Amino acid sequence: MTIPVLEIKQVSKKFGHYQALTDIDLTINRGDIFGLIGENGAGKTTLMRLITQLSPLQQGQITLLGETGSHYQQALSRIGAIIESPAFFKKLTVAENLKIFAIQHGLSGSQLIDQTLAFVGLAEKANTRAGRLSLGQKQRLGLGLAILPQPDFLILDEPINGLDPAGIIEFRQLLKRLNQERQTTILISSHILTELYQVSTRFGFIHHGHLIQQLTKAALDEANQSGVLITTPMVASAARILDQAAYTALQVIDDQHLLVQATAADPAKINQILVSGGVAVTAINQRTGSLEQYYTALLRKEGGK
Amino acid sequence: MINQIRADFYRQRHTWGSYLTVLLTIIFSATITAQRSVGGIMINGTDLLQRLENSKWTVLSGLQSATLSSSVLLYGYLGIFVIVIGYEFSQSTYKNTLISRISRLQFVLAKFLTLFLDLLGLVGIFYITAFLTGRIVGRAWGEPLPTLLGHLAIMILTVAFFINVIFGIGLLLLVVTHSTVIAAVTIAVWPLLVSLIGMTTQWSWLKYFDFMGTAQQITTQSLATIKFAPIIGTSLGLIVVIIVGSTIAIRHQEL
Repeated sequence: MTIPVLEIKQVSKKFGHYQALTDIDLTINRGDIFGLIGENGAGKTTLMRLITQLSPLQQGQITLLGETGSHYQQALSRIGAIIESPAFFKKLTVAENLKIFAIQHGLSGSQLIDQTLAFVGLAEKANTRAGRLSLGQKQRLGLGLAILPQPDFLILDEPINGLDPAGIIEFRQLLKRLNQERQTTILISSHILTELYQVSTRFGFIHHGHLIQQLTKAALDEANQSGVLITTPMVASAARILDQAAYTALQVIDDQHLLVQATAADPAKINQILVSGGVAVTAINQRTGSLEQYYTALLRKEGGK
Repeated sequence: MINQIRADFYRQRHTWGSYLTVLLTIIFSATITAQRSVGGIMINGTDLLQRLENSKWTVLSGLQSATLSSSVLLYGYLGIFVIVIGYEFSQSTYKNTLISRISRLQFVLAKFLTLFLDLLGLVGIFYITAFLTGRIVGRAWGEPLPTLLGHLAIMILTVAFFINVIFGIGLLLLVVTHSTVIAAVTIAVWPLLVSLIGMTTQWSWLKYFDFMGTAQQITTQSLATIKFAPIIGTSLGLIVVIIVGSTIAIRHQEL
């Protein structure tokens, strides 16, 4: 059963004469990692600021964790967020910053702080002044502050900006762990589309203040013809054997190529099934869809309208 | 709101500026009391100042002298204003705060109350140091001890309250402009500005906004000679305007 964590209905926002968002409709369900994609100034941060009430809502309705109106504040206490850049007291240590946040949320015990420090990989920096951290460590502290109250919903605005490649990989793993171990629903925006593709389960494309498309990762992969590409002179037999082996998302491309539309499918296992079934496999390749290509094509299409 | 106040006190306990302020308060109070020197920012000298200069000092004289010097505290405690509320805006940590369970009104009230509790503590240290210093250097009480202690309590409460009203004006300006500089400069120039405008324009109603002057009057004159209602009424009205105004401003801002 899908449980909506965030429901946005007909939300619009204007800054003076500038229309920042227009009639946004969006639902994020429990367990989603929703990747929000758009160019600079598209309205991603504005949308996140509206959700967190850092920007006053002018038009439309936002329901957060089932709460709206006067109860919205209570729902806010169940979310964590990094909007624009992580904010903390630079002259205090990492642990002191977390302690302040814990007190604000009525949380006690140093165990929670220790757990959070370990989770974001800052245990060794607990007594370092926050202002002396590297950019990547600051992002980790921001994430630590956001996850300290063990939120049900996490909002991350460009959280991997400035991270080195190793930091990006670790950050990705952190997000996946949060989603899988703590069932945290995540709304994330980033310009690094390859990363967004790796972590997200759903995508929303925002362009000039309009949410132009939403789709699941499976739908994106299908549109991009992603999956395992098999080259064989026996396409019909291969399709029959794989269908019997419960690989139902199959696409015959031509008389030499067959695509298994599942990015999680194991090429070695598929190869074994086919060879066992007497099918000669010439080549087998993992074909990954490019979110960047899809986004570029989508923008081109929008531009042509 | 209580959690926010607790968080602010935790933060102050881990900020060396807080300890420096306490230390400077003790040194300043002990020095002016022991040395019989009355320092302060006054547009006109008072009768009390002359009386103090020409009389033998008692512990009460020391407390009265401390009151005349209390205008200096406004500048000395600007650092506390910056620590409690200025940092929130200069380092954008209010974003974290406002995404917690706290409402805008509770946030403003928490900051105002934290400042008041800070001032109560610091002004208390200032007067108690003057009280103890007077006694240590061998001065007489100057009036019966229970009465003196009553005066001491009134002095602490009054000076802390009126400094907090001026800090409140700074709080409102900070929330509206997000500029610590504008807020701090306004706090610093307020007593001088009100006095100078009052002298230039002869607007008698301005006396209700001369908070430091009022604090000095209340703590150095006979209480019976002062019309409390308009003074306290203006200050309380201004506090309501500060809290409501700050809340409305912060609700409608792009944070």
